Amino acid sequence: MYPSPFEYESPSSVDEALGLLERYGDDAKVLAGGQSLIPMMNLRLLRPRVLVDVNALDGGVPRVDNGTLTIPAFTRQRTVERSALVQEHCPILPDAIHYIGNVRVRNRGTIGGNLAHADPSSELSCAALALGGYVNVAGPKGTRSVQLRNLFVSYLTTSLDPAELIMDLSVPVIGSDTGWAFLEMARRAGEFAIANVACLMSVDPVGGECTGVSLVLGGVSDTPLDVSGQAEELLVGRKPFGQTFDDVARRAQDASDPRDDVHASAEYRRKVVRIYARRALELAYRRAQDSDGL
Amino acid sequence: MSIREARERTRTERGRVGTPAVHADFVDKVKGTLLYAADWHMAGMLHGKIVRAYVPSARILSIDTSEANALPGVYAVLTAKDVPNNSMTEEAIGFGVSFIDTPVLADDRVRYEGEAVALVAAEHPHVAEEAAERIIVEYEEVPGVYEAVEALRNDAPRVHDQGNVLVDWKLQRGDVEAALAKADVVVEGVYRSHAVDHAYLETEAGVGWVETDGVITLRVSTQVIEHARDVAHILDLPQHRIRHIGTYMGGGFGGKEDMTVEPYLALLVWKTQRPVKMIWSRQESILARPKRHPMVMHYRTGAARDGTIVAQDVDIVADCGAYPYLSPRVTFAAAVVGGGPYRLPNARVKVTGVFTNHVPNSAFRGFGAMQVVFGYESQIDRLAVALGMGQREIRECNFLRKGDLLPTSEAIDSEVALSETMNAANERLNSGPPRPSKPGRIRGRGFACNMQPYGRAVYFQDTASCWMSLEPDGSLLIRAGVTDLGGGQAASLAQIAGEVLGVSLDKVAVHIGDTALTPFAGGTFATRQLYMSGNAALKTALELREKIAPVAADLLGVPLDRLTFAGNSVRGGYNRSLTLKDLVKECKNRLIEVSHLGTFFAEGGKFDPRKGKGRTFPDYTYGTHAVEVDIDPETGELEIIRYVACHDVGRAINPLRVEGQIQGGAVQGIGYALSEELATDSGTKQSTLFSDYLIPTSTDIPDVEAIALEVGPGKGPFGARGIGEPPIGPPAAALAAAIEDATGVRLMELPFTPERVLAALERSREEGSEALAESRRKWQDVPEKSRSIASKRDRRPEI
Amino acid sequence: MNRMRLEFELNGRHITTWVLPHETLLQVLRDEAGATDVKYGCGEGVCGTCTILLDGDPINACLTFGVQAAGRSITTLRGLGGNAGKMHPLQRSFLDHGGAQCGFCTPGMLLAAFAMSQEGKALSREQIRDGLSGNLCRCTGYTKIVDAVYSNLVGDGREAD
Repeated sequence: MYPSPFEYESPSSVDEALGLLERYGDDAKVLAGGQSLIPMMNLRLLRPRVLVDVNALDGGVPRVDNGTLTIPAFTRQRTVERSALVQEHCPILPDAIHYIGNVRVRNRGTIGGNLAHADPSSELSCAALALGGYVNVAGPKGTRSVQLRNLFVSYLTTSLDPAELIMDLSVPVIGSDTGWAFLEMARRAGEFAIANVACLMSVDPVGGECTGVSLVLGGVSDTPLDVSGQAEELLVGRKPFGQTFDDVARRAQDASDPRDDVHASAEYRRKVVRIYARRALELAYRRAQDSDGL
Repeated sequence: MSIREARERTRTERGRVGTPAVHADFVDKVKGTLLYAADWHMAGMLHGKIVRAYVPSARILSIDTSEANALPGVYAVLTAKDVPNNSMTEEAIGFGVSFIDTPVLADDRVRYEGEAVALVAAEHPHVAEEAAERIIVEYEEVPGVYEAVEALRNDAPRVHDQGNVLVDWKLQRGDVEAALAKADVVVEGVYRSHAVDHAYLETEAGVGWVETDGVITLRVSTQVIEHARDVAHILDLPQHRIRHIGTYMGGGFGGKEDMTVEPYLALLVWKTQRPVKMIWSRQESILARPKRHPMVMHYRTGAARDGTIVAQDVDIVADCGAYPYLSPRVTFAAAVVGGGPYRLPNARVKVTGVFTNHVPNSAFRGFGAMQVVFGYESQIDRLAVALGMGQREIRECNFLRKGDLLPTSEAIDSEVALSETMNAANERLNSGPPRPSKPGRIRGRGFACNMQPYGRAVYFQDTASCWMSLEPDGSLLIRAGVTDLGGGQAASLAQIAGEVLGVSLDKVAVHIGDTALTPFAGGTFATRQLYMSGNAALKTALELREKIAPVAADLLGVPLDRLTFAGNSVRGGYNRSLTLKDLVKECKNRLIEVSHLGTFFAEGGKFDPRKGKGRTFPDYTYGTHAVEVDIDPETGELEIIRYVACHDVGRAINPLRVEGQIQGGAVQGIGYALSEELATDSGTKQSTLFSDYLIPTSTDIPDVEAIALEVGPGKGPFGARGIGEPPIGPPAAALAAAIEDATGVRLMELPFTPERVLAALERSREEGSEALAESRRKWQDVPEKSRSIASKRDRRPEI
Repeated sequence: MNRMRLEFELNGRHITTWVLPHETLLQVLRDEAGATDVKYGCGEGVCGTCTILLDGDPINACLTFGVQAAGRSITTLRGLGGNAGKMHPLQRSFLDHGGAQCGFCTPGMLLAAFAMSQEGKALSREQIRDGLSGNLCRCTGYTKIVDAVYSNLVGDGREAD
């Protein structure tokens, strides 16, 4: 209810922010949207000595260049959810983001903050990973790109240095031969997922064979779990049918390694993830065919 | 009637009994101007904080407060030794088996996680938090017991030295064993309910100060201002030195019936002589406030081939947690109605309240009478299946009727409109356009009936008073010691008094909940305020009218029986009327009193706990909820498609508020049935976050279609029956029936999580057609339309 | 620890106060600016009783620090009808439909509904339920709240049932 005292810094440039992060190291936390950080501070589970508030930094607006959608890290989730540009080029993102918390959380929560928090049930992480996205990261040694599959290390842990700051998220736009699906089961609207699944599937418009697939599972491991490899093995080059989807879903279930918690047992999460994976595959496939047909 | 007259009539009749009047508290609430307990602010106010145990069962070896005391800004640090009378024992009214003190602050022993151990006051809430963290308590953990049934074993760890049994109620009528032996069918089942939290949105809060005359005054969110007397005992002060002011509550549901912040605030005010504010955090509220009793309910029900129930045996073990609180009374209510709203020629009900090392359980809307609905309604559903009867049919031939006896051997002495509610709820559910299921979902329907007492048990000899005064301008002042949960407890008094005295609602002010200024009304619990204070208000208004009516009759020159009080005037026939203002003036001239204190005495009676016989509750409210669900057979997810809740309310004083009570109670019951659970692991709570304790959101439930029947007059004013608690009873049992209808499996343990529903489905697939065939039989008295839905489901291929 | 000067606009009035960095906006509004219509309910961003509009968008006051409100414009329930104490039509609709019981969720609920209504679209009951899903109510069971918002957004009163 009452966070512990901290020193408050509100840098007005990225360089200033990076300088502060370098100076304070592990003592500092970046305050972006704060929708995961501040609850933990309210409960006094986290007591950072310094907060570096990056809300004064302006990263611009989402843009599409050469088939890549780039979203500045400081963009509010709600902005992305309602962006016509994102809806047009990458509809899986608004769909996934709509599941995050509630509208108040999305009005404050940022794209970068969500990714940096590395919650294994993060809807955005799940969808962005399925898209094969990467982040640009600024740090004391300059800027570098990090593939999302290399970003998430374990529960609430990324591969970033404490002095690094995510600057933007880039994902390839979804092509017209590609269908997508984002499905989530939660015990209650807006709560943490029992499991969520993001799927993209491209289908040959002539032959109807699957030409590419990605499948990512959230909430069933200590990071979002990319099982695209298993899916590709069974699907690419083939005309999928119900049984194949179920086979892929079984493999997804086998790969998952969830924990028990108050909302569901590990065993139940594994059952759910299989059903949701199959449904996501079916939906993505249907959409791929529809987008082709229409 | 001219248009003008019609308009006038609409204007003046608005607010009368039976109309959906807009109550004054609503206006303050939608404007955001109401000052709740935590909104009070005083100059020089300190902030209190409780240090709570993080272990469920331990001895306290030492408490080191030196660091906390040394912190700048800290004004007081208190432990058990600083409390004059470290006991907040509830009067057990002689029926409690054990007499156990509940400490205000734990002394040498901690009996549940979250028990209060020390107390801090500081100049700023942040400082209070810091200080609380610097109090070092050294614990030595001792074995605890975390299951009520286990606690009954001889070798179980003892929660209290006196033993683990708090109370043991036994009711008996006839010879149950002989009747069960002769019954054509006996159905047996064990039903388990779980601990849940009230989760009112306003956490426990209050501000205390020393009034200029030295009276310690607490302005708190409470259902019971009379706890001022308990606080006096704790502080070892005379009772007139403590004053409690009850604020409009941000919800209570029984959770503010026991004391919450009161003893702690009072101790800190008394110690520091400064104003002190205390607000419990949400997590603290879930951690430490009493919960609903989990019960293990063992039922055996026997019936003759024609469906007549011949006997029912009920054996319930209730987990009371670590201290008594209101457990003796909660378990008593469970015993009285544990047999359900059915005629039982032979009945035995046994309820054992047991101590465990859990947070104490106490009052929660439904008060023991709600857990048992899952038991008795599941039993009768299963009996119907066993006998090949319809669900409505079997109930119809067993429903209680006026004059029938309860297991206590007392007769029901008012109308029982159960059939009417059952038919109305089911007919509504069967009406309207069909709503097809989403692909792959399976549909089920079910309903459940219940009875819930209103008013305190008669042996309390309950009373409530009310004071009214007509002001010189013709407006009306009401003072009553009621507290308002948000159910309109205060405003409905205005509506009742206005009806009798003809005063429009905009000219009535109701002052409530102040032990110094308002006449005693008793707390707002047990669905008693409409019955008690409603009747007190009615009686007071009638008696006040009797005082002033002769003056009006005299002035108007008409006999008394020609007078009508309406529209802020008294009329004596055509063209003869007098404003209340003028009447008051004339009364003053004639030295006639225009104020009155009235007291309502509830019916009394005797109950003999040894024999389990006698009079118990004044009356009951009956109802039926019917529900239609869709289940995802692959994940066990359940969606409520339609929900109908019907109760016989006798007379609706304010239909809008009655509907609101029914809808809100039903949804709270749905949350209990489907998603809410205070999960624990060896006494340690796992769901103290509001993101883990899952009360329903607006997307988890559909509209609740509320039907308030006015069939059987009750014992409240104008024939009203209490409606605060009853609607929380049926949802769990109705959902269990709907789940069985869809899946063929009856769930015996709450809550019905997707995981449990899926497990049931998997079981049903293993058991195959047997269960489905069984469930099909019970559909024979259901209308054609729903039967076709059932049979469609039956044809579904195996998944 | 030094207090920081904080200026912001609350319901159209300019506020200047001094705050500590770790004081949440909820605390600042309630304890420094007298906005007791903003409620504490959970501190987790789950319940919605502390809903305020920050430059028009609903946010959790409990999950924002007071210092972050510098230069921003905040609307609470008391600001919905303007400063003359008038009621917004949504507030009237809550009165007419019995959309409040204990009233504790009401400020947040009304602000969430107001933010939805600002989109200017007619909404179905399902869309209203989705839009309010982040604001918990423990008394009404939501039906009458949805009635109130629906009739206000649609403007044609309740559907007969």
